[in-house]
Amino acid sequence: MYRDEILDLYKNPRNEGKIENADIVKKGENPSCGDHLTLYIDLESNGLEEIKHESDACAICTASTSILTEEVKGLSKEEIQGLDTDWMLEKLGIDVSPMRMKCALLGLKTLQKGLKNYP
Amino acid sequence: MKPEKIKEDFPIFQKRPELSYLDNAATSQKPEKVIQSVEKFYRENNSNIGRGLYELANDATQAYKSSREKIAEFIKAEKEEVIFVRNTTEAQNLAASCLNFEGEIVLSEMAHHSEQLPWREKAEKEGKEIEYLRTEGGKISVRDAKKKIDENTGLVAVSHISNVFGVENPVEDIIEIAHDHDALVILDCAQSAPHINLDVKDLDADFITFSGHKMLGPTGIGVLYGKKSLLEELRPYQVGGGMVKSVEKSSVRYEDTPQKFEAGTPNIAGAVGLKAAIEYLQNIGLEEIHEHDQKISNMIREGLEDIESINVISPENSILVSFYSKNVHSHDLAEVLNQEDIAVRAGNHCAQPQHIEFDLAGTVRTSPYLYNTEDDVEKLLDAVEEAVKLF
Repeated sequence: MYRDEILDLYKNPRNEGKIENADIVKKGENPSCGDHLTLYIDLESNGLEEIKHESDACAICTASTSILTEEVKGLSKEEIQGLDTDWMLEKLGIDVSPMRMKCALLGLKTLQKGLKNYP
Repeated sequence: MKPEKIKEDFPIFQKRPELSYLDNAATSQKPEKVIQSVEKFYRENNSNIGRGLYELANDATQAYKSSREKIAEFIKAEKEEVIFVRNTTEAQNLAASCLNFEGEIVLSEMAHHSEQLPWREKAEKEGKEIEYLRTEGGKISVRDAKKKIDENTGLVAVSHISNVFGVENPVEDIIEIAHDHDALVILDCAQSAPHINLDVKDLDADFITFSGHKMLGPTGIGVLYGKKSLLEELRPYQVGGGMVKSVEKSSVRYEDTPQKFEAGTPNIAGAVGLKAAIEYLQNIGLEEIHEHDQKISNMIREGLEDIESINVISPENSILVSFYSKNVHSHDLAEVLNQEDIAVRAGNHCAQPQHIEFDLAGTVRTSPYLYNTEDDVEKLLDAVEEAVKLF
């Protein structure tokens, strides 16, 4: 499970940090295991322009959120809402046990919730 | 005590010889004798209890009765004081639902959700205030108990042994303070009953709760002990079959304790299995088991303290060891251990407020029991070291 790519994404998360005055700031957590993250999202007319994250989470969660932030730039809100578990797991490229599924999906779910509540 | 020999009594370790099972605070494995007792009940003695006049029903009734007597003997209670429930959680809910008292509720910050939420729910419904006792050095602070338990306190709910820290709380002091202020005390013994000989007369708690499955028994069977004089005062928990003296259109008379708290067909096989589990534990001796669990825990603690970036939060002589790494998330650590067939628990162990209080994202908990060997400890320490290097 902890392939080099995953460990690299964990130790050197992509798009880590804050966006000042972001259009959307959305926190996500898995309270039972202690994964916390905050997404900062800037939108443009066609969709998502910029996304950054601050993650205090496990390797699986941090790596998948890193991948997510690389993949969703430029996608429309509808396209992002259409992304599902299979998509995230394929991008992550490892077998995730049922107990860790929440870790792998926290970033995506948080992003989708953040966009849904934005007018 | 020879854990290698004891391991042979547990079929799961024959099926999975590579398994180092160190999550006994969550649930324990079951010895052959317990499994057989449950199977034998269903194969040879199965019937409903209480009402049937035939021999088989009598056998089942006797089996259930003798389980209650065994538990009463085990905790030095009267048999009328032993109520069968599903588990600690149900025992706490039963007490919270049936008890009526004036005054505030005192809980602890380290409280497991099961000994905390039934009382928070009650407090919300009845407009009661709640106070939380602080944790000092892995134990509930007596100093804080002296401050917060006063004439306004109606009930104090605390753990005998915390499932996060693994050491005995100063419950005798807390119970004394509570009783000095005429407050009731309910003691969660889910983590202590598997390791310590409980003497309810000595402890003097008004209620205690524990689960069978953490002490080699089956799942779905647990115990609420209550002082007889208090139980007699309480209304039933659930109503239905098996707990009435007479039912007429105009009136209902309920059975005495404990039957009035056990509506419906109970978990008879579970009770039979719990009796077998207690007999198995008594055969080895709880004092020996406790000593062994502390020895294994101390080995784990000492080993972990030598590993860079690992912080142990359980105090000396605990029966379990919780720790965290500054570099590795608890779930990642547990996942690496899993790859080495080591079963531990990661997260906040149903004690979220305590983790927030200590600003911990989560901890890894290793909780040994009578079948854990020094080999398990070595394997664990090697794997933790590997995990720390990996991340």
